[in-house]
Amino acid sequence: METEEAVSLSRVGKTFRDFWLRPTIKAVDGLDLSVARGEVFGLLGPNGSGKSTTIKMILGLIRPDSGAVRLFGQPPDSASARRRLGYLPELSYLHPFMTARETLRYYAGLCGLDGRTAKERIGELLEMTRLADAADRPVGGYSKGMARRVALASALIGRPELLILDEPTSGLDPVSTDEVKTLVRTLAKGGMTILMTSHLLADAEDVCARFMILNHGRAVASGKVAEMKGSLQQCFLAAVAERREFKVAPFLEAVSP
Amino acid sequence: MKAFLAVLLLELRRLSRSRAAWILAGACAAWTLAVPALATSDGTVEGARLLRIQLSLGGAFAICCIALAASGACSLSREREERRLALARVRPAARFSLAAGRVAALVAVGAAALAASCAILAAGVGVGRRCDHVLDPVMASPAAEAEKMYARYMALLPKLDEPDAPPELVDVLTAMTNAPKATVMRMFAQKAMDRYETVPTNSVASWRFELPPDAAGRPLAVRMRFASDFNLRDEVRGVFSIGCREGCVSNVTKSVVKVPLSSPREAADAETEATSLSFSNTGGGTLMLRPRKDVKLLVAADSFGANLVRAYLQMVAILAAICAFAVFLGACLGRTVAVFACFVMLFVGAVSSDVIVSYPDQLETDRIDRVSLAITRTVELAARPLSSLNPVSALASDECVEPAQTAFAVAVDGVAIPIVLSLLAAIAVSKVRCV
Amino acid sequence: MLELACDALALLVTMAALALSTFAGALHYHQFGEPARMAREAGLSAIMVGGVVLCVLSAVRTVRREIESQTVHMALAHSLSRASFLCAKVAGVVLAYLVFFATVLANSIVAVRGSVLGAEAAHGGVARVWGPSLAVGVASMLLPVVAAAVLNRFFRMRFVRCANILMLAVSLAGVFYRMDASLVAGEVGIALALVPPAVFFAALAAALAVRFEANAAAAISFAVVALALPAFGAHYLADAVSGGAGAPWAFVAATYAAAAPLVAAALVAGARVFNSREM
Repeated sequence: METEEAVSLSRVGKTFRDFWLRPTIKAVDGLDLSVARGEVFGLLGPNGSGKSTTIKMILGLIRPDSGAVRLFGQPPDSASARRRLGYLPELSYLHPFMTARETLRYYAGLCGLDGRTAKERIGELLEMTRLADAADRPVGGYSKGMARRVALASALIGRPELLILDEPTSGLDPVSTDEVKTLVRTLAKGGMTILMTSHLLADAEDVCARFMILNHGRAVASGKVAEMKGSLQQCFLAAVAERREFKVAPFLEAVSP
Repeated sequence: MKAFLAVLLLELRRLSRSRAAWILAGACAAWTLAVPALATSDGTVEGARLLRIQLSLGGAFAICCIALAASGACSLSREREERRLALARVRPAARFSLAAGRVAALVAVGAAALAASCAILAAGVGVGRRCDHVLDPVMASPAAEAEKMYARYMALLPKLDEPDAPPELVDVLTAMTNAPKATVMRMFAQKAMDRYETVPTNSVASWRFELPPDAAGRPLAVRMRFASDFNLRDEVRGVFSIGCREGCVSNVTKSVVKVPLSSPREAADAETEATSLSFSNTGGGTLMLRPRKDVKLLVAADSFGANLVRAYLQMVAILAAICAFAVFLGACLGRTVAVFACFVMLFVGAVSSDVIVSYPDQLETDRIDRVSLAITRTVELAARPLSSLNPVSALASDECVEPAQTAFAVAVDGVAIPIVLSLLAAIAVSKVRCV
Repeated sequence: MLELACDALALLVTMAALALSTFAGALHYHQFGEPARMAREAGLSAIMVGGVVLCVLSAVRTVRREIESQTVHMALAHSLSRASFLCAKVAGVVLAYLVFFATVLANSIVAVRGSVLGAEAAHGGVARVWGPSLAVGVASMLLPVVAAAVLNRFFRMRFVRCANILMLAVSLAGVFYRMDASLVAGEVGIALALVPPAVFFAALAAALAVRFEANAAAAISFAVVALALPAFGAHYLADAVSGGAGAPWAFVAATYAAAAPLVAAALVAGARVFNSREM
């Protein structure tokens, strides 16, 4: 059944368990979330807040213990839902022995593209990500930024309606970060639905129209960026404020001459 | 199909760029080339040829099985451990393709390596030599004979109550009645296989064979084994005959002799009617032999080259089943455990038939024997599609690798088992947590 | 060493070796001639084959894991030479091997003793393995696994590490029950001859892993094993102590003397390759 929502999570909970099925971490706790078509949505929060677990449930890689996840009104592991999906993981996870072109051809095959379409689209994506010159070098020798662009291109190879980006700027220098943000904005202008996670508030402010802040698996704030400019920062700081100070004084005393 | 091809290409690239495929092909070629120089045979041309085929092609096949099993077990488990499987899982490709594509790539590499070995072997030993269909004498099945033996013993049961019953008979009947019937029948069937027939001096023994309809005009031979568990060689002199063809044998040195049967006159039409092979013992002593094991009629088939092609197809089919099993284990288990489990299974599968054969005729009265043999028989049964179809020894002894057997191996080992195991691997890929 | 003690591979190899040494001697239809022969050969074979498999795979995995995950950079950034790093890795593998060796040897001694006692009890009839020995053998495989599972469930202790240590403890405990001291001396003496080859293969595999990727290093190591293994045939060793003869110490000493330069050569070669390698 088609819906207006690209992604919807209803009271979703996930607790990780050990071999004996004892609960170890409650990663997500009764989360409600919906992303409309054509929207750029940001999922923010500090490390360990449940962002990646939420993304993996949306992708069908993890099953929720409670609640329901729907992609375009369908279960996330259905082939028709996966056909409309692109995913960029937190780390690029590329096959180091393959070139960028071969990597894209592999993912084009998994998306079921025929040879000619795949060739055209690979050319477009290599141009778009400025990898055309390095397209025939093994990606094992790429810099982190280049590898990230290959991973992004492979997420886009199937022309997805929904693009899920897990920490897209993770580990990138400021220039590369800006490039990725620009690319995301361009894709959003083209009508693509984008769901991205980040632990950097600036990323969400620059790119997202709507956001949700997670902490300990719960939504602590959500709304439109434009409406909540000030409180957004306060919420985010409150979420990350639980960190303790490092006790460096004894160490400095020990090492001082 | 596109996803299948994409995964196949990926796996081929992984194997070729990690140099695994080249090392494997090189190892097979080097082994096939090196063995003739290293192996020491019994000094005869025949012995050298047999040893060469068995060691070179058998060794190359073993290398392929071990290397590709390890590679297959690592394939999906490594993808999962390095978190790339999640990226493939979120694509619309069928998960069956993720497993089947890998199996196909491994088989392609193994097929190439074996082809190199076969080509080197064919260049070394030539392809023109004749191979033969091997026919067994037509006799009642060992199971039917076992039923008769069982009935005979059961008829003696009333004697147990008689005071003058021989103690040996009482022991045997008591053991038989205490043991499960299946065990007794298995033992009797083994006895039927090993039943000796005596051929006294100047007497004739004969055995019936079902000749193929096109046997007329084709060369025939008899292969006979004159050895027992206690005596490696027996002196033998006599004449074999079938229809109008005859062959003389006079041997004191070999345990197995192959006697060509030639026709002293042109009687091709009459030959097809004759299905009884007779042996006239003209030697000085009584001859003992087991017809089910020791007497074979050889009917000329085709060339060694054609036989090699069939053996090659059969080996590739077996390789496909092994690779599929390894990929399935890799889909379910971690890398180390998958490789270990795969090797243990291969080893147990390979030795289980030997354990069963070497088991002496006992009634399995010991519980630990019963349990261990039950386990061994189960493993042997499961491994039979692989172990019973290995064509190397038949190829080495110029026995025809039967086309029907090759077709069975290709259909079962090469297609059905890989498909079933790939489907199971696809289910495992979906179920095993992958983040 | 701790890394290897937590490795599922060590547990799997140890369990397989224990199963072989316990059951091969216990199977009635394998007891040709002298009753303890099969148990002794099985035990020595288990130590030899299992030990070599464990040493090669552990050495390759431990070195490759450090190089591929780049944790070796952290180690080398401190004042640790590459040669020391390699030697330390081999030493860790050898220590893990010695745990395996002691476990399987103790189990094997119990199995041999069980066969001897079973033959004595049979008084010339069909020999059965002495029940308590078989029970110790089975217990040394199953009890540690169950106990480790309990420790993991209730005290959150590492399963594989606990199972490995408990297997050693249970197997060693079995040796102290109705044991013949001369039998222990003979078995230990002859089994010690199997240590040097295992140490050599650990050093060789570690040295190869510095240069080649995991599969290639393991494949080359096993090719060398396949060429060299016939020289260490377990039945020759079993023959050496059959009939109550003591361990041939001169032979054991010669094995160590022959292996020492080979181990040193492998380590030196490995260290030189490691030093010349750009990380």
